[in-house]
Amino acid sequence: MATYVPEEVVMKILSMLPPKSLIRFKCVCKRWKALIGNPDFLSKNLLNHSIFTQNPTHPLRLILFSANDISETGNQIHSFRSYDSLRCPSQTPLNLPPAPSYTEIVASCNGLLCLWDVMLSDIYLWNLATSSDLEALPASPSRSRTGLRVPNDDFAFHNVGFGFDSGSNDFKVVTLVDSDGGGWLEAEIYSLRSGSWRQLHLSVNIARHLVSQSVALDGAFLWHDNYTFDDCVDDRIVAFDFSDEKFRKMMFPDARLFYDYDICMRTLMELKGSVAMLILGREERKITKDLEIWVMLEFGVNESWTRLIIIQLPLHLEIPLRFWKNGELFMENSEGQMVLYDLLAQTETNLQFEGYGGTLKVVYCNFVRFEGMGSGVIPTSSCSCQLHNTTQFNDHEDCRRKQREIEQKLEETQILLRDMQEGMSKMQEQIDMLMALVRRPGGSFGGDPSHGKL
Amino acid sequence: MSSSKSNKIVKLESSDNKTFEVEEAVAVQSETLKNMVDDGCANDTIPLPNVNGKILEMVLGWCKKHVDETVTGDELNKYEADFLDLDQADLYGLLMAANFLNVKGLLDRVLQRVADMIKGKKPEEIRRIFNIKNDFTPEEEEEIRLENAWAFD
Repeated sequence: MATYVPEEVVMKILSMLPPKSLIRFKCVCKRWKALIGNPDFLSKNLLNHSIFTQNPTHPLRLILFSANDISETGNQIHSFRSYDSLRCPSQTPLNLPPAPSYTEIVASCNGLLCLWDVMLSDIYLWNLATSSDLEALPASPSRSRTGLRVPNDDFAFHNVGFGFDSGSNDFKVVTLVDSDGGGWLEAEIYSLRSGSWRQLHLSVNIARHLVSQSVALDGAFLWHDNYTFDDCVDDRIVAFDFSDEKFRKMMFPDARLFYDYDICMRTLMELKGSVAMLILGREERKITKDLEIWVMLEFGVNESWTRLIIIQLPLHLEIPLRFWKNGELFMENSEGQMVLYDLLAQTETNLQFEGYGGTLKVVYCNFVRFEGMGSGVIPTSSCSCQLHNTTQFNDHEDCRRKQREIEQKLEETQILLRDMQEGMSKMQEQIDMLMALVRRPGGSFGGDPSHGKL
Repeated sequence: MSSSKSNKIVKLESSDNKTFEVEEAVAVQSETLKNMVDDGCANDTIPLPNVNGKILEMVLGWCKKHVDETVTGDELNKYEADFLDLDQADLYGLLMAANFLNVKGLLDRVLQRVADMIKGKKPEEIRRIFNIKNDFTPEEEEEIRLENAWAFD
């Protein structure tokens, strides 16, 4: 046992502990309580760590910026950036195929991106590794009931979630829809392994207003409303766990703990695996805004909400989007531009991405070979395309057609190659003849016949 | 006696009077020793009164392994993992030595290992490990536990 541990070493050890242990160790002694209770300590501990854990099976991590086009054409613009440098990745230019109408990006996990066509209520999956076309999921039960393939004004998903269940090695999509009787929402779930939809039984009541915004966590999805502060209205976070397929409600921190701002905006996002709440408050006549960052240190435990830090922000930074690494935050400014703000150094960087105000979004993607994830787990069929499963896409006609196209292209390329090689050997013969001519005594280069052939 | 690579020897003496001789290249893995060498204070035996012989031997073993060019990346990873498989007493001795000698990489590894070992423990156990006196009254301690009950399950 150590007889004396210097304070600097204690600090270093503490900075490597998870939040729950830190809070518990506050009662070890007064010195530790002071160290841990210092708000700077806890906020640096959480803000200074990278969002992604170091996982050797996910070598390339990308960030997707998306937004509506400024020109209001309804088109969307996308920009894939490297997670580390925030520049466009040089290796593989990624192009997200366009969808029939306005789509929202739901989330990305383990190499798949999920898109939601909001107008037609269609859901698509896109494989980042193969960069193929968008794969449409079959219509959900509620969608089918209201008539397929026709934009139906009466029907729309209230929200969509996408995640990966590591227990069953399965990708799942969950949708929230109106029930037949109105009132509380119902939910349906799609499993990629089974290729089919199921109705979910809910043990909590979910009201429509609760699900306007979404946050993707590891293995879970959260929904909430940005603006409800009225005591009378149910103001909670709805959480869905992809493993046990259950919905739960969690509370926001007590609103009485916040400063009384004139104008206020609330948003949730992920911070180092935990749920973070950001409050952007503004008081008239002040020349800065306040950004409060709260973290739910233990998932699902309402009492574990802790305010990390309050930072002054310049007025032109409007919407917090996503945490990057080392205490930096992606934000949208008042001109619809994507900006990176360093919370601790209080400096900002323009990221050269611009869209229609209020529509900017940041999605983290793991650019991973899907074969590595799925082989031996997701049922393979005679088709080598891994997104198609047994029951839903029986004859794989599309895949076979694509395969034929590729084989044809390969054949054409090989023919071209052969022609080129023939052409080259002919040229070589001609060159040989020319050189022989040139080296003959009396030829223009004259010279010594004993130099011999090339 | 000079060669293309400096083969200067650094002499170290542990708290229990054991002497160790290592090549300069090995010794300077420690920032503390490197500073001494750069300042010209490393010509005689360097006394290390706060590091015992057993621990010093381990640290020097780590340093030797990290300058050995024949060691592969995989071998090094395995070595580092096995290295930290120590009992508590040795681990804390190593922690103090790594901190004092400031050896690249070793200190972070040891800190992480210590953090992993203590993160699930109760406050009483933490006090015993770090030899800390509880200066809270029972009432004060109870108050902290109640305020943060969720962390004490």
